[in-house]
Amino acid sequence: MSAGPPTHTLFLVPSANHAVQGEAALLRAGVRCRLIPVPRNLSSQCGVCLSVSLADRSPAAAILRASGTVTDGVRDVHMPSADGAGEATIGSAAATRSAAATRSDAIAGAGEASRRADGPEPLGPE
Amino acid sequence: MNAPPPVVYLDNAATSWPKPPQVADAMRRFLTDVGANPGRSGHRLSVEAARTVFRAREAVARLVGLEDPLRLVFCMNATHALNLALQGLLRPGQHVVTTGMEHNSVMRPLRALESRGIAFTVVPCSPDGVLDTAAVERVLRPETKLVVLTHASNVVGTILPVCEVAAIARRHGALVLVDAAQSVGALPFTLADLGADLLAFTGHKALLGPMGTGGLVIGEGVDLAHFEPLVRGGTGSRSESQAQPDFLPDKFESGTLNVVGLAGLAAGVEWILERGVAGLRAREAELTASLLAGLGELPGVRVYGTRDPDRQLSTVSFTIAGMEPGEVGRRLDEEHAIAARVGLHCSPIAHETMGTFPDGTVRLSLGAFTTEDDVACTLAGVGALARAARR
Repeated sequence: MSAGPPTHTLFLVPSANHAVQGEAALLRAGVRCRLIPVPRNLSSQCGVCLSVSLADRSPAAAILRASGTVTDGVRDVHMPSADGAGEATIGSAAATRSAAATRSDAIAGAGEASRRADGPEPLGPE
Repeated sequence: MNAPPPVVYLDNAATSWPKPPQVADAMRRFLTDVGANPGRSGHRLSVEAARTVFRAREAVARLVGLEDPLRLVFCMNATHALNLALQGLLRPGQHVVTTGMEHNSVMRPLRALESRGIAFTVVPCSPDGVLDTAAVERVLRPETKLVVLTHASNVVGTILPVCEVAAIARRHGALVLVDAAQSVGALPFTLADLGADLLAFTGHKALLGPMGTGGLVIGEGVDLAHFEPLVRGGTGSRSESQAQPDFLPDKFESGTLNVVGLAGLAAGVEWILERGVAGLRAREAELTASLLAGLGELPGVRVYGTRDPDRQLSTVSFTIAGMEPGEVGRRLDEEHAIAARVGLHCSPIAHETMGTFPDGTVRLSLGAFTTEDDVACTLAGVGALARAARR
């Protein structure tokens, strides 16, 4: 969190279970949101909270209430670099899958390198 | 669908198989693409893992008509869920009512609790597993805290009158805990339909998920302040405190969940939701009717239970005169490639009720992927063994 006028609203929740419940409700209602680690100055928990743009504060609060999502508190914060990054969208899931594919390739490559280091490949039939 | 299994698998009451291919796909995807611990960190993979858990929670909640998915606590299996409810809610001096058709997942905890000053009464059932609800009302006491009963017998499939029992229990101020290990995903119902307060289920039977998944649905009428967890520890929430969280589901979900299993469970339940439980149930009931009719025509074969597909699940128990159940099971497997379960099915009290204790029965349990050919092969196999027994 840096100093400056509020740009986002954070909804603090009791647990990650509540966070994803709230996220699902907000996404269903078309409100863009992100799950981010709870800033240390707000809570000593190790969990996540829901972040929405300041403009969405009121509708988001109403949606969370209507969905039965329990919140522990609401804080308006200045997060100038937060827009877009890591938002819960299909695009971010695709990015995760893409990264995972790269990771899988790397793991497969490491296995290949390891086999080569062990010695020459056994000869197959000509 | 995968290639057809090489055996006629009629042991779905023990665990369903095969599973929809989406189940293994979802588990593989979680392991390869996500893999992180839900609720323990704030990074995207941890959040994705939390979403995976919530997806399973939402899917099961939708299936049982639970408005708040967070009132569903994930456990290892139905036995774990039943133990959580029984050991967490009951206190010395209280009384419990149960039935003569229960699984040992209910009877063993009750026996252990009995030694701690918690009394219980077993309401007998008829030999075909039917429960007389008036008999339940007669044994209720002022100190009766809980009525625990199976929704459907794991031995003969008989469906118990949970709604009627719940209404009686409510009038007397007792909670109702339903062992839905066999019925969730097999019968169309909601928690409200049953009128129950707690529902214990497993993920690996009719929900078509993997082993190691299950849970307890906790209704609004259960006082959480007097409901102790079985296990306490890290939940990823309220980490500043050394006291266990007092809210659901975290109060009862300490330690890392089986998230890879829950990814598979979500896929299994979503597969069911797409098709509808009622349709799956109707198809299984038709096959069960064929199986019951065919077995009924075989000389020397005795079928137990109601023998009415509308009053039972697709679980059928039988014996062959002159051949022990163990031999029947072995020969069905070795000579006919039919997988059945023999013996007491972890329900000695049910077999006492049926008059089949201690030898037990042969149990055939159909599932979502059972075919008419499977039933025909089974009738041929049982018929051959029945003829062999008469020679």
